[in-house]
Amino acid sequence: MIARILVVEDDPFARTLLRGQVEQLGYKVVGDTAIASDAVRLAHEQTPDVMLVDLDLGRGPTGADLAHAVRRTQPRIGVVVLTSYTDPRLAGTHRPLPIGSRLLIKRTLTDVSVLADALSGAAADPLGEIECAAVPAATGLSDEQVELLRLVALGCSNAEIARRRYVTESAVVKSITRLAKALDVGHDNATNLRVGLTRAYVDLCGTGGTHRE
Amino acid sequence: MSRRLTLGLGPAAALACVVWLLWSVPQLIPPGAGAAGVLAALAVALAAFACATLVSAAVRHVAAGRDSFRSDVLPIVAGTASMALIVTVWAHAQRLGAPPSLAGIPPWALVVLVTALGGGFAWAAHDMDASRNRIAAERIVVVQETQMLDAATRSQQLIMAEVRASIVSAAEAHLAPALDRVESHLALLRSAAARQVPFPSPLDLRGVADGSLRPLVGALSDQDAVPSPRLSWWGFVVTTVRAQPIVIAPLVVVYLLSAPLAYLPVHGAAVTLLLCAQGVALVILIAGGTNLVMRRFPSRHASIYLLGVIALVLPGVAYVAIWLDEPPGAIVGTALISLGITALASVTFSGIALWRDRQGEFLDAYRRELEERASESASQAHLTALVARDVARDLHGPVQARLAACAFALDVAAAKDDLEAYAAALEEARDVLSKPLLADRERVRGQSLQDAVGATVGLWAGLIEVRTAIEESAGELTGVLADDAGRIVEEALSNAVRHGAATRAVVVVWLEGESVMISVEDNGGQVDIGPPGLGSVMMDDVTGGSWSLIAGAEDGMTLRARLSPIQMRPHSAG
Repeated sequence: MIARILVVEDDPFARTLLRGQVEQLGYKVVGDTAIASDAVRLAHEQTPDVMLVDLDLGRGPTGADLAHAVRRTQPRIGVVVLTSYTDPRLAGTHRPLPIGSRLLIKRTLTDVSVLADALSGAAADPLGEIECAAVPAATGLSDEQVELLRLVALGCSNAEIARRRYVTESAVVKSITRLAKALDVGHDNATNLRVGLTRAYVDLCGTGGTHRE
Repeated sequence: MSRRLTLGLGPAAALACVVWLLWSVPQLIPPGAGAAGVLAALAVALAAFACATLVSAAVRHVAAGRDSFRSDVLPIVAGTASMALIVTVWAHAQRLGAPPSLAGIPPWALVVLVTALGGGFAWAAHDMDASRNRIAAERIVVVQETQMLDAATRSQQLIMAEVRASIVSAAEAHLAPALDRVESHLALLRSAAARQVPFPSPLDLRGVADGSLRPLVGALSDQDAVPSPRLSWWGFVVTTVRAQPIVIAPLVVVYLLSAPLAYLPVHGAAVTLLLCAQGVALVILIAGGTNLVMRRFPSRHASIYLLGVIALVLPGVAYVAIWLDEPPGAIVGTALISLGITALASVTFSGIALWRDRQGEFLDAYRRELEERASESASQAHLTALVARDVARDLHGPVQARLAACAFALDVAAAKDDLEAYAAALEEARDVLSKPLLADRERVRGQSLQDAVGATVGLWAGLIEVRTAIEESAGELTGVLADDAGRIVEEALSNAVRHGAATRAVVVVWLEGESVMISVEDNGGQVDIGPPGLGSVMMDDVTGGSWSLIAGAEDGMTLRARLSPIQMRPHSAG
């Protein structure tokens, strides 16, 4: 049986191309949309086998929120999540993906076979324990460190970070030093540590940065 | 200033010398003396002044490096004392007794009086100098604080500019080869002219704080560019006479230093005490009355001030006329001397008080300005952070999506093996890649509250069923209030979906006075309100702390928030 795929991507051009690519791989695309509410409706009407969804859908719900919402009415739908973030925690939402979700990092999508494997795997065994298709680059960091990195990249001062995290400024300074060590971001008088950390953040996020605060 | 008041060189010393000669020489001329006697008196007066200068210099030399009181005041006291001593000795030698206008004052008392007056003025000048130094030090602190604030703002701007440049260049670096590839393929296919990727600079961060702190620092650093608290002696006198009430306490002191010396030999202790009490009462009455009249008629300030000073002198003149039965010449002399001393004391002490007030106002103004700049700088820091976030947010989706899109476009086009389709796909890719990166997600600004909340609810439709009830007058609001209402509803809905797995929510917005009230009630799980997170920080920022999240009676959570038109919002400074 040919697997039926629902494509959710907020960038129209990427969506069109994804649709074309998925069709070329031999799947049937039952719908494509940029909007979470449309996706929920399409999932309900078309009952696809797999939902291929971008993690970052702009303002409002994320791909993770959408996947959870769809799973509520269709518990056996397969989920393939596309993201530009090398570590989904960098997107600013700590909500885990539904069980069995395949995570594809856009940067590593150099071969369509990776997409094909993820789609067929999700269709065949939507709830199966799987290993992430991509290894998060920020694996070595704790959730707190990821959050700290995000705040530094947002341009927050130590005082502001301390305010937001309810800790003292000196604790922030120490945490930043440890974070820099963990990310191997060195600095001397000629370079700025925060810029170095922000570059590291930009690298980890693909090219963009901070989707949501 | 006290250094100019020394009996040494300088314009103040020259003036003091002239005043001294005018006063002392006529009184030092022996009765019946001819031109030789006049010259002798002049020589003695000059010698006394020269001696005072030498003594003053010697004491200053000895006291050099000690505290400023000893090096400022003592030389003057010593100089004045030596001068009084010489004159008194000369007067005795010539059998002049005390100068005629001060008849009845014993010689030792004359020395004490002159020394006390000299010391009093020296002390006043010293106090003024010390106060100026203290205020100058405070000014330096203010300047340093301003400079530090400026440096902090500047370095933050530099960091943010660097961050933005790095984000932008990373994006461009990723996009440029893709675009080149598309362009070269297109050029081969259609010989189309290549287009450049426009990349407008969204906001000059370095310019954000320019024109606010920098000019202040410049003004503070450049002492000549700001109104200086220094006053010339003439300006000092003029300003004092024009703008200051008579300062009473020092005049009482001067009176008590001089009057008893004149009363005591004539009247005895008891009457002297009574006369002094009367005199003090008169000084307070006349000076206080003059101040009252000056306040009543500010336009005639100067003339009333001078009349007050003359009135202060009249009782002394009357005393000479009635009790001492002096000849008219001596009475006039006493009147002139008393007038001179009273005017000098009044102007000096009033001037010092005025000068200190002015200095205080000057510093207060600086401090106020500094506080304003600090608050401005904090909001600029906040703005900088917002700009950085917007840049990053606006860049994120488009760049990444376009990279993927471009790769797919080329693969798909190549696979189609159709020149026309290939060219069409490439053109589409080129159009997408050539769009200005930051123009993609212009935030909708100026929308009404109704639209802002509606847009947010629309985003979450499908994931949660939302009913909204927005009071008409509240829904028409625009600007920050509308944006913030959207953010609050967004926060409430995302919490309801993510943490409470809610399926329904009710959003109610209404006006209460000038405040916008927002209530979002959901049917999700009753979430344990753990430690405050980013959402609560945002809520604090937006509402100034007036919000609450409470569990419903049976299920769900209710978020209530009050948005006031003017919020005191904490800034993310730094």
